[in-house]
Amino acid sequence: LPDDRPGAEAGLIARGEARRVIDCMDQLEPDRAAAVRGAYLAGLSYWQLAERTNVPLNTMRTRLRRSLLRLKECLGA
Amino acid sequence: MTDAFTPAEEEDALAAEYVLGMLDAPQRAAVEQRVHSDAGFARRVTEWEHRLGGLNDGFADAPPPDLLPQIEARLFGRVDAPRRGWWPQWLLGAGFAAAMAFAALVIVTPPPPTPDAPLVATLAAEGQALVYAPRYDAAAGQLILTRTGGDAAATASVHELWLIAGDAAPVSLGLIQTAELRRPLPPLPPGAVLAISLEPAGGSTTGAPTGPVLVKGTVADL
Repeated sequence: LPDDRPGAEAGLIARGEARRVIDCMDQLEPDRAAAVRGAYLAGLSYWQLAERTNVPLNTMRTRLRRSLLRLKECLGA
Repeated sequence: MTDAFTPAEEEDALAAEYVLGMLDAPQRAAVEQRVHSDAGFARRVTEWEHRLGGLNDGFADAPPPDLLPQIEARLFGRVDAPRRGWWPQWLLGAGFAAAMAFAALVIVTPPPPTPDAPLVATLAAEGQALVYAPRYDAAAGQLILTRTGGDAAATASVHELWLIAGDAAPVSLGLIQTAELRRPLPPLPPGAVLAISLEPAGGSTTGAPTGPVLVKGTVADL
């Protein structure tokens, strides 16, 4: 099996990128950032996110999509 | 805020939703096809995996909080103080780890199902043929999970069972390698969510679901 573990250098780069993701997340409104984290880290679905925040499903979807695109923009800058 | 997305934004958002596992089964199947046939779209997916992957690494840098007592308290409604006092702490930890490893690795030859074990939830999703029926055998103190609809995971992938109690992070209850999964467990708290995610063969390596959630259900108040 090939050893595909990241080396030290890759680790440092990855850490730098992780830092940037977190900085960019901080630029989102706290509730939007929480939705992105909930979706990615806790595997929450749209309906779970919508239910938790009492927001209509479609609104939640638009918000999350918009937040993701802002995150991308921030990371690309 | 305008709700309109440009076609490029739409495509990018879809790729992100795919990586996040937010799509339902038909949408996911369509996107999977597209990943294979559309190199540009496949690149968007890869880029999102990298972007969001940083989120994992960032959190991994922080010292992990000791969530086990909280999870136990949430799951079992109390902290089992006498048992804790009696068993050495390390043995509990080792036992827990061994149980997780056992659940994840061992292929159990299932004994015949216990007919009187009541159904605790139905794990299903709209537009999804897959259905899992978890039962709880109180006498044996076991959760018995059987697939009652749809197909087993395709080669190189596996269904993984997760328990999500309250706001706690999902806890893996094991991989479904056979027609039936049996797992020794205390009774599940009503309102907790059981979910099945699609994971690469061998299961999630991060301790959290990495693939899409296929079906889920809420534990009923028995």
